[in-house]
Amino acid sequence: MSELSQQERIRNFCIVAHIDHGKSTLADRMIEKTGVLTKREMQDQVLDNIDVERERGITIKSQAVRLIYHAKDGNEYTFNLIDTPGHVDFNYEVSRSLAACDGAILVVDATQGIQAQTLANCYLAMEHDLEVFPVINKIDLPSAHPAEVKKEIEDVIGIEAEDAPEISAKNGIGIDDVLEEVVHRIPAPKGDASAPLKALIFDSLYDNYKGVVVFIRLRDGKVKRGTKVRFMSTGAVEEVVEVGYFGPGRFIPCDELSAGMVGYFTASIKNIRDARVGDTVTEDENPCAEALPGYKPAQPMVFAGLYPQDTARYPELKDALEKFQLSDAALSYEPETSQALGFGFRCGFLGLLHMEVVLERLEREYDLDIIATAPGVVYKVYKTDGTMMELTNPANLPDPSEIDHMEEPIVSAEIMVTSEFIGPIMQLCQERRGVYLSTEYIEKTRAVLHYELPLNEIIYDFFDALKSRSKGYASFDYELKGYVPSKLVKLDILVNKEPVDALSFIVHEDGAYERGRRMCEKLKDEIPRQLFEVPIQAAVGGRIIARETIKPLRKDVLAKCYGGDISRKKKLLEKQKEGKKRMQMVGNVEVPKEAFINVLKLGDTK
Amino acid sequence: MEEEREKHPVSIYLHIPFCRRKCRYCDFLSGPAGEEERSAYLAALGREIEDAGRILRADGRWVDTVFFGGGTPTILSVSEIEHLLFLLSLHVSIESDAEITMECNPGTVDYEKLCALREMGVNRLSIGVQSFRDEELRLLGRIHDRETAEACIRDARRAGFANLNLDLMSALPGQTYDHWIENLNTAVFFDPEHLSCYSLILEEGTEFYRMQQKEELPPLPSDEEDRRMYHDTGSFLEEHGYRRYEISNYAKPGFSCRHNEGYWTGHDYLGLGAGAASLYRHVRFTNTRDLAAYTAYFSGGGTAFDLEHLTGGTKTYEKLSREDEMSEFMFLGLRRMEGVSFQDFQRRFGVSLSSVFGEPVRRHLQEGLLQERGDRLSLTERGIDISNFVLCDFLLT
Repeated sequence: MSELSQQERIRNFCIVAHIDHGKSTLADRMIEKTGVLTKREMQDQVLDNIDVERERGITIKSQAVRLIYHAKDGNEYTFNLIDTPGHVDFNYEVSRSLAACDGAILVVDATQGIQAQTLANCYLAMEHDLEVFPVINKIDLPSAHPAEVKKEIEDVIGIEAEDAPEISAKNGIGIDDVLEEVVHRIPAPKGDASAPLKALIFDSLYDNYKGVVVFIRLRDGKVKRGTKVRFMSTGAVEEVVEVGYFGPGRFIPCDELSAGMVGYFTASIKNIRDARVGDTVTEDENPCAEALPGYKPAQPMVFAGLYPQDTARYPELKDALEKFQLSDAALSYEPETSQALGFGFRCGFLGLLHMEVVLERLEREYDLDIIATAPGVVYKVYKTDGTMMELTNPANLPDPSEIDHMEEPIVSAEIMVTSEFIGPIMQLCQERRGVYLSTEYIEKTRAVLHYELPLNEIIYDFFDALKSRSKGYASFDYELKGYVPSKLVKLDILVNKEPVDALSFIVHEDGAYERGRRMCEKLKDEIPRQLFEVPIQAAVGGRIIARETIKPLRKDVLAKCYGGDISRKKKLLEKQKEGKKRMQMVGNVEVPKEAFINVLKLGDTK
Repeated sequence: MEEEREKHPVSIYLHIPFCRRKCRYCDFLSGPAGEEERSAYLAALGREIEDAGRILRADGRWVDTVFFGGGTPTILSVSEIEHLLFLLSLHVSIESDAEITMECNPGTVDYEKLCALREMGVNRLSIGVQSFRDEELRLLGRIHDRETAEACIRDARRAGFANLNLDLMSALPGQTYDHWIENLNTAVFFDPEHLSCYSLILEEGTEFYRMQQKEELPPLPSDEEDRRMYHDTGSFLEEHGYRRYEISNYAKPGFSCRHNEGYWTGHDYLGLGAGAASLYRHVRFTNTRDLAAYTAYFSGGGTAFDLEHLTGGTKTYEKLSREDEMSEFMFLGLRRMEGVSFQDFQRRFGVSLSSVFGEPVRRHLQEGLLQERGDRLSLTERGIDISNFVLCDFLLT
């Protein structure tokens, strides 16, 4: 047994995979195998510690866990497993997590082979110079074809896969092989513990007791209680209160963290924004020469208005968002007012999934019923006076006469699909104003389609449409490419000639009619008959492009009401009265609150 | 004032839950029954009459209207009806000029039976004609045809009934406007004192409802057509000397149904028989709809009702609060074309109508759904069409 230094016995790595290929399950098994926890202590998926994540089977907030592994070579290794989200919405979180690692395990499903996010996440890891080794999961399933999958990995990604461990994370098969591979395939960190402190912030969270907890990967130097640390981007100096590492699901304080290690510190920081992810932490009195290359803060890409269903609960929503933002730096919000929905907030999200997760958590953890307006993207409006404004709320669109032109964000998308579905998927992309770039065949029956797609065409229900048109076989990944000029118009919905601000949005000229018509039809079904005829119109710049009419209420009368009927009829009237209470006045039209929700319902625009 | 109400005569409703065959639109408690079940039920009903009479006498209350409803009360034999009337006269103090109505299905009576009914004191006959078109009667599942209905009306007149009501139904599946007016015209030809004209409502649980779900019914008239039938009914009948006095009821002067008026003006009434509802001394109570349970309870000598404990027997009780009574004053009172009186409200509840219902009254006056004439507030024609929309605003719960 050779003597190894402390640093040589550290492995910092992550697991990357396409969604549902078994990343979290593998993490669980590794935690189990390394014996940090007994089986009884194990929750099913230890790393995912937020309710919503468990139910959706995705990991949102990247976290890390320290494992102690007794390798076959007789040494005790410290593994820092850093969990990363798999979904495209959270790419920026993946990126920051990867920066804390030296290597990555690539998990590929033996039944599905390489999928879009396999590629995207693997390339991302390689961009960060991580050593990547593959693991073939789910080999116990009847439809597993590990040999082909290995060949695919070698052909498409170009990494050696011949000896990739064949495992079943679910049933605990082959986990030992994975642990050994980590020791041998992933390089130990190469920092200098005696150099000035240089640590990367790769995540942070807000804890009610400790304040902001800063997650760091030390490149060089040491940090312990009492160290005066400096945040290099802001110059702020704080005294460290506690350092420690990540036990499964909890923080375990320790005396000191040194070069190569992954851990956390606290320093009575109140606002999570003061500990920016990507910033470099150094020692105030003995600073390092230069900061590590930082990375861009998360850019919200999707915006929507959030309103409490019960207008009286606005302060609660405000409070909830404030608290929420402490743990989710990617969420942005600012107050806005809607004539139809009252007081609320315009919120920015990383993507639609992020929005859904936030909504669900607000409803679950804060017990709020929320109306979300149609999600939109950030448009650039170039005005005739030479200025440019970023538009997140359609209501703020300047008068058409003041607009020179508008630009919308586009993404470059990779869609991986089996050949029989290439036709339908290309059709779908065309419907969504996609620009075809190229097709790349991975094998005879599978291809990657490269498209440029406007972001606003994929934020609604693109993912669902993709799944349904490919019987679930297509996978999809995208990244923001930039802005291009586009013929965009504002679509207004008028109820009884009054525009309803909450229902306005920006659409491409070509899609305006179709969209307007659908909105009108839907609203017609949702709004009950009124005393008078109510026109429902869709308009673009004052021009009506679609119309439906709600006929006036003609008949609502009980033919009979005698002695025996009175109780029952009274209950009927009581129910009707209740219904009236849930109405929201738009002009002089009573619109049920549900109508807004149903018309704006996500993914229901088809 | 309250004392005055307590002395006011009471109405009695007797429920006969039997018929030859259930009509397709019917959601009342009714159905065919065997001889044995029927006589057991009538025995129980007799016991309930006896016990209710005991309470009325103890309270010093007289009865001014009796109404035999169903089902088809005329499915009973002459002697069965005679027995019920005998029990009533024995146990209840009935005013000499009381209105005694019996619902009558044309397929269940002949001239002799009608003469017998008239002789034993029934003085108002309500004939369920529904339609004078055979194809409509077949669709409704009625047991009679046009000829039988016409014969029944003539026989009733010959038997000496001077107060006749005919029930008619509009907005039937497949019915045209012209068919309906023709029906009305035929009805008027017989010159009844009273007409009840109901627009069909498809009630859940009826055969019609099931047929509608399975798209087996001819198309129903649109709401617009239904309303045209309704409004023209009013003007047509007015030309023939009838006045609409309630949403679905029309009468020649002096012939409105006193029994039903009692329901809309908040008088006390006792409903006897399975499923029947009562309002007595600020409590509404309802008998079980379970015939067997009803029969067993009263055959075993059960008490008709117990306002002291508001529980027990086969009844469910609901004590009406002052707010409940105010609401009912409005939503029942406004069914009458005369509407409600501000003074009556003030006298009955000790506060002004406007102080309680100012907001909805103002709003609906403005919308043209209510109208104010002197001391009275009533629905306009448009207000009638959508009366639920108006009336629900007068609930205080």
